[in-house]
Amino acid sequence: MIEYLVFSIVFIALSLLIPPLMDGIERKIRARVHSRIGPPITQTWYDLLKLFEKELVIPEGGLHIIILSLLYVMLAILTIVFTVSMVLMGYHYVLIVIITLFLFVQAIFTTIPFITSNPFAIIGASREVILALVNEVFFVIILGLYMYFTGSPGLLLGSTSLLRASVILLVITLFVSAYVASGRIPFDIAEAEPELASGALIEFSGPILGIFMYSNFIKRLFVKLVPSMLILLPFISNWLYLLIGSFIMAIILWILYGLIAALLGRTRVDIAPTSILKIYIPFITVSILLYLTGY
Amino acid sequence: MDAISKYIETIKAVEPRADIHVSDDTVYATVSSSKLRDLAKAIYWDMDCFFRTCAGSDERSINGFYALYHIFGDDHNGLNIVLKVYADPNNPTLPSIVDIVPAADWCEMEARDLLGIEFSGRKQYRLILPPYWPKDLYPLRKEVSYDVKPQVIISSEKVGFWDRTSAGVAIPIGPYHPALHEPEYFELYVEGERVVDVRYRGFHVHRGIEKLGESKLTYQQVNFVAERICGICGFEHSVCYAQAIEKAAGIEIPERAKFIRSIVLEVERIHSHLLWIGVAVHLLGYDTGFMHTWRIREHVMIIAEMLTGSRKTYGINLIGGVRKDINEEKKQRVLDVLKIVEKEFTELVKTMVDVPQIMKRLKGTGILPREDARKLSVVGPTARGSGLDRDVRRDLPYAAYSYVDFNVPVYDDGDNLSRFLVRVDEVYESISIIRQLLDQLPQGPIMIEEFDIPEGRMAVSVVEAPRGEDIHFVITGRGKPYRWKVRAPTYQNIPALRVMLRDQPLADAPLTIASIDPCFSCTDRVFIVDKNGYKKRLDPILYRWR
Repeated sequence: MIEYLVFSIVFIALSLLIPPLMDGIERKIRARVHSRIGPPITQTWYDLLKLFEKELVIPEGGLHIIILSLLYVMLAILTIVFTVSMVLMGYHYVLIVIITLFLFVQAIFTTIPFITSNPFAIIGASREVILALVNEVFFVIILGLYMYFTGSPGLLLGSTSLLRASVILLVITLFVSAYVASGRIPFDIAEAEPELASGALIEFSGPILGIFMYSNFIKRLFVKLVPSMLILLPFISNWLYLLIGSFIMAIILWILYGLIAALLGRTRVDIAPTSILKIYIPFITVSILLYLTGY
Repeated sequence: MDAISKYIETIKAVEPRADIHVSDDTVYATVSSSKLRDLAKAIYWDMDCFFRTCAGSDERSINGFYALYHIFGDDHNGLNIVLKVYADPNNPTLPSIVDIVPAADWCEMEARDLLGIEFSGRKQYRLILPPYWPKDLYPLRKEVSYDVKPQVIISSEKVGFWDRTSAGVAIPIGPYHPALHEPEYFELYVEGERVVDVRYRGFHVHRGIEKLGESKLTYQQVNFVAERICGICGFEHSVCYAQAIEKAAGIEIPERAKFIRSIVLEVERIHSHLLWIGVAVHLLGYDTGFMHTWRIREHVMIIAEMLTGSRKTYGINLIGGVRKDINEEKKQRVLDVLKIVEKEFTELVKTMVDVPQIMKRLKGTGILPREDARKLSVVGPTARGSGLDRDVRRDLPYAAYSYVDFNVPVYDDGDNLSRFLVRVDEVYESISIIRQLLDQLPQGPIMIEEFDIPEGRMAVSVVEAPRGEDIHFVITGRGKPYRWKVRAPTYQNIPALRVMLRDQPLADAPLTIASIDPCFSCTDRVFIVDKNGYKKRLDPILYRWR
């Protein structure tokens, strides 16, 4: 039990500390691609700490926004804490709870900008809703199919039945979903700085902006951690090693996603959903066909 | 019959009493105001001319009248046609030609704001002066001192959500917005994410440069102020002004000076286009392209520094020639750096067009149809991207452009991609022009020291800046210009944005606005410093905006 507690604390601490550092590494890599030197990798932490030190300017929408922002950060932290600790425990219904928590996080994120009357925030939020309607719905469908194909709402550690083509294809699709959910270019249309002057985040400053940014970084780690766990699951027979492997893979994915983002431009709200559907529909269809034919 | 005779005949047919004279490439005709509209129609539509600009002038001390000069351009025959009309000093009212020549909208309102000339037969509004500027104080009238400080109540200007007739939700773009690098205000009306209408309010940074040139500065000093009209294409303004005075005074500058002017003009064009391409891809979220375009631009700034001593705002131009020569060592270094620019730019453009979002969002967005481009007399890459084959370097050659061969890239689709491709092609053309000019650079002096500038001469000078043609119209005075009118290309292109933005996705609006490569400080030209800060009250008596 003590061992479990120690590992839980270590992984939870890592989950809460690593995301801003990873963003710092991403910024450094992006700078190299741009042929710049870039800021130190701790810069994102410095930025966050500075934001938390600044005065609290209550945006239009008042207390509602503050309460929802606090709820957003708490849920984001809870999602990652729960994922880490439940995986260590080998909790059976982990996937269902993960889906539920993640959907709540996304719902709050898209709701908050609607409370302000700023047109940029509202347009940004409506873009996020349109994107989420495609991406998050397919995130649920993919995980639902995963549970149906594997016959379990949890993580089947070391099970060779997970090595079927239909299941692997689903997990690969989940990596695409993770990229879209991380809000990187080309899918950063909710913020789209040159178009909407930060869109969904335009009314936030100081500590509230800090809370939002920090929650988004945690969300970015979470969306990489889940598919990493699912892809490593059949090859590892120990929960602790699974978590270590998943963290390493999530870090590699973070760097890879950062590199991809540096090589692309921003999409448009009318193009983005169809672009994603062009990936999801064929992948999921093939996966179902493979499952039906016994693969 | 040659083109000049045709114009004389056309003008005489409409207005037999017209006083016509020809100087260089310009036909000047003084006509009665009652015939102005017929003549505007005949020249703009029947003779297929473009509208360059109009300039009001306070000539009460010369002939007892206000005057308005409508300047048309015949690019096919390399001519300017200037129609001059007089306005009664006690009731300066002239017929508007804006229903015949839509491109004349702004310059008529500028003449109203700055000189008090009223225009009949059109809706009039305050264009340039701020809403709190006193009524009946016209800055370009000769009795108004350049440093006048009117007693006004500074009030915050209410821009945006009032007097709204358009459908849709209003989205303010500016005066401060990440996509705008200078303070201007666009109000986009959207339904969903589709723009249904656009309103524009500019002239936040009007600096009174024309007034300064006409009252405080000497002929040569104006060169340096003209260069400060724009931070990107300042040299074009400086050359345009110097050429206008040289033309008016009949000064022939040394050939070597002409070559050096052309070389530096092309260096500035490459620099400007690289800057724009970087900004355009940044607006599309492709920051890697932005950073690398600006990295290549650094090479061009090194060339500029080598040739002029400054990375920007070179200060080498004077009436009579240039102040800085090019030696053999510099020539070779420029050629070496150009090789690097050409190679790296080619690689970068290839990479950019492979980025799927770049092509998808450039193609078919921000369309300006050819007919609208013609109607509004747009200029530069905006015109050439809409199928108008016009470039004054070829059509009215100046400096050393008659010594070089170059293509004028023209694309017909009128979208953001067309304007992007025009600029990409022009970078290569400019590199080629610089190589040709350096190869043919003649020996000799770079400046003539002694010349005379007689009073009362007039000239129109045009220079193809990176964004389109700059126009400087001058009437010479004693020791300084009597009248100096500047028209920057953005001034002519902004009205086209209404056409380009309508029925387009909101997401593409910043790119479409940027696609004309707007330069607001060129367009505006006054600067009002409010040392006391704005009060929160709007004064109803002084409030005159629309």
